[in-house]
Amino acid sequence: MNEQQVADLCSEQLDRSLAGGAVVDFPDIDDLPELMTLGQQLSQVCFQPTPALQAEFRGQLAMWFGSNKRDVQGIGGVLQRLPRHFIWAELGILGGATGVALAIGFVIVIQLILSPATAVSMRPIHLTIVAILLGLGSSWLLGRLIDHMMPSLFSNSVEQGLQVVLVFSVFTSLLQGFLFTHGW
Amino acid sequence: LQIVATEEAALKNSVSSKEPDFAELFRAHYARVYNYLRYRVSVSEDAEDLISIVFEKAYTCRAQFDATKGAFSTWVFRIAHNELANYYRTRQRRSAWETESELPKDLVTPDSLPEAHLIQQETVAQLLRGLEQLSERDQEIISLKFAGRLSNQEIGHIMNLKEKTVSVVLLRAMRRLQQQIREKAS
Repeated sequence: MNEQQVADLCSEQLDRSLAGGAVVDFPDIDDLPELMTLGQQLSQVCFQPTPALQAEFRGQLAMWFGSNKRDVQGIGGVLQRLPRHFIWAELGILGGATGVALAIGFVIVIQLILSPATAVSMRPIHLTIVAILLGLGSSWLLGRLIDHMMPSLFSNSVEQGLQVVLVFSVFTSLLQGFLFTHGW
Repeated sequence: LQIVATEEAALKNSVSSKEPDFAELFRAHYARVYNYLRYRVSVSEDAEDLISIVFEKAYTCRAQFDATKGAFSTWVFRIAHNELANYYRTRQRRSAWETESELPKDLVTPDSLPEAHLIQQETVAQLLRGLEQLSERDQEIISLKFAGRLSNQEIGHIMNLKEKTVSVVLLRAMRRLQQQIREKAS
C-alpha cells in the first residue's frame, strides 16, 4: 500500500469513527488502531461557549435577524413586529409624498421650459399615475439606501419590508393626488 | 448529521424567501466554529473576540454566500480560517496552553466521575500541548477535522488543497502528533 492509499483508508475510517460507526481493522497499516484512538481522543476535546457568550450571540442574532422565529408567532409576535412595520410605513409615506412632489415639480419644470403662454394641462388621473410611479421608485430607493446604511434595521426581511413600503407609498400618492385634484 | 439536517432545512425554508435562513444557519454552526477557534487559540478571551468577528463578517457578507457553490459550513469556516490567519499574523509569539493545573473552563467533560475526569484532564493536556508543537498547517488540518468536524472535501476547499492531498496531510499530521505525545510521555 502506498501512502496515498493508506491516507485515504485512514480518512475513511476516521469519518466512520466520527460518525459513530465501527472501525475495520487493516493489518497492513500498523498504526491504524493508534491513529483511530488518537482521532477519538481529539474529537472528544470539546470547547463550549460560555453561557454569557451564548446569550450575547443570541442577542446579536435577534438584532440582526429580528426575534427568534419561535417567538414571533401569535399576538406577541405581531407586537414585536409592529415598530419595524411603522418604520416601513413611514418610509412608504415619505416615498409617496416625494413622488407627488416630483410629479408636481416635473409639471412646473415643463411649464417653465415651454413658453409661459402655453399652459400645460395635465389630467388629474395622469398626474396621479405619474406620482404613484415616482413614489414607488423613490420608496424603493429609500428602502435600499436605508438597508445599505443600517443593515440590522431590515435584517433578512427586506422583501417583506419593501412590500409595506410600496403599499403605503401608493396610498399616499393616491391620497395626495385626490386632495390636489379637489383643490385641498 | 444534525447540523447537516439543519443546514438542509434552513436552505429548504429559504426557497420561497430567496434568502437562506441565516439566523438558523448561524445558530447551527456557532458551537462548532467556537470549538475550532478554541482548538487553535489558547486564550479564551481571544477566541471569544474572534468568534464575534467571524459571525459579524459572515453577517455583513451574507449576500456573497451561494448555496449552489458549496455548503454553508465551508463558507463560514473559511471566514474563521482567514480570521485566524490574521490573528496570528499580528502576534509575534503564541500563548501556550496552561493545562497542567486545571482544564480550561469552557472545556466540556462528558464524564463526571472524579477519576475519569483526572484521566481526561491528563489526556487533554497532552493533546493540546502536542498540538501546539506541530506546524501551522498540521494544527489547522487537525482542528478543521476534529473540532470543525468537516469532511476532507470541505477542508480542501478551505485550505486550497485537493481532497486526496488533505487525506495525506491529515495522516502525516496525526502521525506527528502521535510522535509528539509519545516523546512528551517518555
